[in-house]
Amino acid sequence: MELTAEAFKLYTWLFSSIWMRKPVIILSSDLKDAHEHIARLLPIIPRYRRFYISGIVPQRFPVWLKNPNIFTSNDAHVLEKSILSSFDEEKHASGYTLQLINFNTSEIFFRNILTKIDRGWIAFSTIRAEQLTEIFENYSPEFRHLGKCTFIFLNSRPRKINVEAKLMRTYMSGAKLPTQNLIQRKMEEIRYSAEYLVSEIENGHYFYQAEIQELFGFDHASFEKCLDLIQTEFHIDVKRYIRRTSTKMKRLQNKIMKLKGVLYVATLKNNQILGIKKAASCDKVPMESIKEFNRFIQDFADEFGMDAPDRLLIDFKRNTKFIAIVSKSDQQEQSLFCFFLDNQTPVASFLREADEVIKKEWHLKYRNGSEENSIPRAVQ
Amino acid sequence: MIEDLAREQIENVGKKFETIAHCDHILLIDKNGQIASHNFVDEQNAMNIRSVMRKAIMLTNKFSREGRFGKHKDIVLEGDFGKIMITNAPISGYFIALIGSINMNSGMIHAMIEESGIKSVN
Repeated sequence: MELTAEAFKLYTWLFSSIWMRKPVIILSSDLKDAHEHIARLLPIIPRYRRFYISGIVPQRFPVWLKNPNIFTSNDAHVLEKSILSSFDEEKHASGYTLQLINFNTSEIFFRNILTKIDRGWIAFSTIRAEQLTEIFENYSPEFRHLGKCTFIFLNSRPRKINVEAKLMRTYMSGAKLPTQNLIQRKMEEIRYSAEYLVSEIENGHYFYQAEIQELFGFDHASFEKCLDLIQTEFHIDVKRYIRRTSTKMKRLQNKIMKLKGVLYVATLKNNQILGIKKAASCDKVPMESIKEFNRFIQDFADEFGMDAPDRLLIDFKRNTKFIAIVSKSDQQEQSLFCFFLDNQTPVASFLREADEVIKKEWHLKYRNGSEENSIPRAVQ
Repeated sequence: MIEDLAREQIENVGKKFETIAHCDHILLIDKNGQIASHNFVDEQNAMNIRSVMRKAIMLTNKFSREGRFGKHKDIVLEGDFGKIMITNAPISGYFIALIGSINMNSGMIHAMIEESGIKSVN
């Protein structure tokens, strides 16, 4: 599929709106043309969604979807009741989410039904844009044009769309079936991760951002997408349950990563991962094993009757060195800094440089009187 | 047979290590962390060290296997107690563990092990 830059952008927004269940209206005097836009995106719309179709359905449209539910009633009252109750039911039943596609939408349908649903619908219509602005006066719609169509993103257009843009590029670049499957797999992966987090949140747990990213192998954009999905599909304000990697921790780790030969840095406190930064060339590091090292050091005195070590160093034959540095704050809170170095980097010089960075950051925090002054003690 | 020969070798080189390389004790251990030969006087201390080394080797092996980092050369633990260094012995399946001051130098230790003539009977 060849797309202009403008069309690509618009399709990505449309794809993102559907995935994140933001209401979208497509206006056109030629509805056949409008339907084509959405038909192109149907293969990459999440398969786990339950599709509901209403209005004057174009002949070929149901064929593009697998087993959609079609509202066929001509009675406006019955239609309103069944659509609204389906959405209401979804809010209380976990496990599935709805996507309503309404064709040839009338002004009454907009007023009576769609104004009452804040998520998960796409409507095709031929009515005038001014009428819509009046109907959805409580929204801040954003209008975009492509060919004969006007796309209206009711809650303004989607903003963070890195994941979607990447998936759209994949969709357009490769063979049809494999790319569709890749995209569906990515969406399923994010969905399952969201489900897992929701179940943990319901059990009263909270999470560290770095911990989740490491656990699911997510980059920052995928992590954010997972949180958005929890919000939109599970109606949970997930941000309250996530402990984000602090800016100061990020700055400290960025500085350490700039040192020569550093491939990886991770910080743990109370066996929770506070932050991870790694070079692109660094493979996945088994975090559970690092946590076991952390426990080994923490329980050292009790288990072995000796003073706990301040440092652990493992020199691998192939090409890396692993270093763990224990750092205690004035409040005796213990953090563990873990590093991977390439084999050419001398340990002594690295430790000296890392010591300087950590000292500087610590003194900075100490001067500012920040709560984070507990992170690193200067390396001995 | 290996243990008999290694014990003798370790005891011989141990004395040399103590004087040169800031190393107080030298031990030969197998992959399970069992001491095959040691020059500890304090048995309780020896037991603690043995447990530490067994755990350190076990965790490192697991870490290395899960991360596919390949085999390890040295494991070093540093603290107020000084330094514990576990390195591969020239005898297959065995490690040499050294306990010494913080100044114990791994480069020197490697050179000394090479020169010491500790070798497999096979």
